[in-house]
Amino acid sequence: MTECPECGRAIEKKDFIEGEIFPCPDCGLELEVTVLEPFQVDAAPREAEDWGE
Amino acid sequence: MSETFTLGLFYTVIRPEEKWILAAAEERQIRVERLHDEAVTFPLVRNGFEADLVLNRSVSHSRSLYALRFFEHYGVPTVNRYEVVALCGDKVLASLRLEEAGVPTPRTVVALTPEAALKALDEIGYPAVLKPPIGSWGRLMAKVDDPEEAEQIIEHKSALGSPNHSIFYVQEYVAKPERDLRVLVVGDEIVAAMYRHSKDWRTNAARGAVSEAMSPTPEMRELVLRAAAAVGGGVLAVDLMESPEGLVVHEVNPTPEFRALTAATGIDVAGKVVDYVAEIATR
Repeated sequence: MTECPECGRAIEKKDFIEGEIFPCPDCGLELEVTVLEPFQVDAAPREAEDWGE
Repeated sequence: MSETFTLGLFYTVIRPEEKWILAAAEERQIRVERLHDEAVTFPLVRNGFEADLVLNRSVSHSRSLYALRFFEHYGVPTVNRYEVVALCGDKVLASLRLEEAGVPTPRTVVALTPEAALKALDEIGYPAVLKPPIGSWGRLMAKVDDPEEAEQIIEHKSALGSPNHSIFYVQEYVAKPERDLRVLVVGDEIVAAMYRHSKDWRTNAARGAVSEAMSPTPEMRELVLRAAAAVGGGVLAVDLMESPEGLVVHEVNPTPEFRALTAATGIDVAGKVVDYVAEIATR
């Protein structure tokens, strides 16, 4: 268990993999799983100008 | 199926697409080496990684270009190839190639200064679309309705100070139905296709377009495969519009997202991509 760095909402580990991004269920901030053990999340990298598909 | 190679996954973040690719590789017992574009370093002599083939899933055009060139330098095949990404990632180069290959594409004029951009808009006629040469997800694109609006938009773009916004890619505004088409090509195969419905003139899934599965007509298939071949082939999303004069290809995406396409069609796009990569690696 960890928490959203923006709103403090508790985030459960579930079946995430390292590097996975997902929105915080409360505030919607895009989060990235930075470490699995111990489970940590941070704000996902911000979209840069040359990002795309 | 058991493969004897290591797949390098070069990525920025793990989105559903990358998660599905990892799962598809695991199902096929393919070893995966994760290469995070924020962490990998590239010496001039290959060192420190095992991958026999690299699948590029980085969302950064600049990082992709340098990394793919390094992998090529190390003798490691990549999907897609450096040349394909360099070409498709730059709208100017992509338009030139499509035109050279006789693939119908919207009328386009490129200008290198703000003054010339106004001229280019006059040549195309209003309304027109102004796009940054590099960039995606419909970001910083503008529909320009008249010269007054053009002056304001060009002034704003110039103020951004980025070289990318100092080159002006001006395209005709295509009066299409409220949808465009996305067709995903893997090698020589069309694996899935969908309409993207939107009332916004930009029909990007990233902008909330609604997806609907569709079966491409023979004419569409021929055009899509011709566009994919023109840019060098690989794993590509070809975007088309139904213009009053017929189908036009407006974009070929070299690192396609396929979340919406998978949801709309139920097709295992990630599995197709991994099978293609495995075929190349074991060729």
